[in-house]
Amino acid sequence: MFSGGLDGRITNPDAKGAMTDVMRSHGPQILAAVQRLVADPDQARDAFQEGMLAAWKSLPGYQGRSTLSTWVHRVVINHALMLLRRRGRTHEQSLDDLLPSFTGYGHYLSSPPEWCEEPGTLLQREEVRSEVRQCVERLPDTYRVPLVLRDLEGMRMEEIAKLLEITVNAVKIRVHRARQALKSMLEPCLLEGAK
Amino acid sequence: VNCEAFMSRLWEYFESKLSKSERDDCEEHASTCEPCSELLAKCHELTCRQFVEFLNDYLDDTLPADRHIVMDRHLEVCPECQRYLAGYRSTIALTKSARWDELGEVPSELFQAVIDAMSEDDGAGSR
Repeated sequence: MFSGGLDGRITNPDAKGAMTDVMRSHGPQILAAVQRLVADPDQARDAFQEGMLAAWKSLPGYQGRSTLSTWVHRVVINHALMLLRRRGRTHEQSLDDLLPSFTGYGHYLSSPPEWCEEPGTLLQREEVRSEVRQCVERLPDTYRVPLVLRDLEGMRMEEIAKLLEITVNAVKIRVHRARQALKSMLEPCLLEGAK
Repeated sequence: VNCEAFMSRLWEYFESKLSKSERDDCEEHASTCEPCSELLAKCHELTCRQFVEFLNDYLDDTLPADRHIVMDRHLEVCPECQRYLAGYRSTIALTKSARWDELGEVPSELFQAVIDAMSEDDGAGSR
């Protein structure tokens, strides 16, 4: 089954070999995705291990509609989301303070700052890369998860809505708010660095 | 009031921070100056709050065509929304690009733990 060209990277004829190949070739990407979703490194490792095992157990249901690596990636992500739901929302704080404020007439209360440097230039600085990751991790689960699935995993809004069991409109709002909050969180570091 | 003075007072105009006579001067200038009249009309179409509210859909190109045009027009005349949009776009780019340099190997003990767990399970290969 697994040597039939469903995934060009897979050459092993047996299921276990195919899964091992996926873990070797795509394991780092899958683990990184789980870490961004779960945030806690120990819980991320547990989620990765449990998710890979869940994929292994579900392998008879794999129908070859996507590459095996993509399918495994999705199963593990799904498993990480289940873990997040089990974990519950312990400290969901409001993002309101990080969103732009407006006057009664709809003008900015304080003028948006100018970002002097291009993202490509900014990313050459290790402290910026580190700050971006830390800021994403500090976002509440409600906002971080849709943001990660959209901007880091590249999923479609409809797909995210299905995974999170919320409406497409709710996904759009959460992604938008998360980006706005992230922008505000990054500005002190980036504007300070540009001086 | 000339065009330069008109534009410098535009923010205060919309914030109702001008005296009645200053406001009248601005409106009188706009009534006789076509470019400033157009600018005033564009500013009336959409507030900055609304621009930010629809920014996500604007970038995803999912707004109705007429709404998209209004957003374009607001952007043309509003330097603050131009700055907000630039920062918002940069945030997305930074988030997307910061992902790849963090990839390491799957730790060997974790790799082995998965292999062991698959072996222990009555896995897919034997079903």
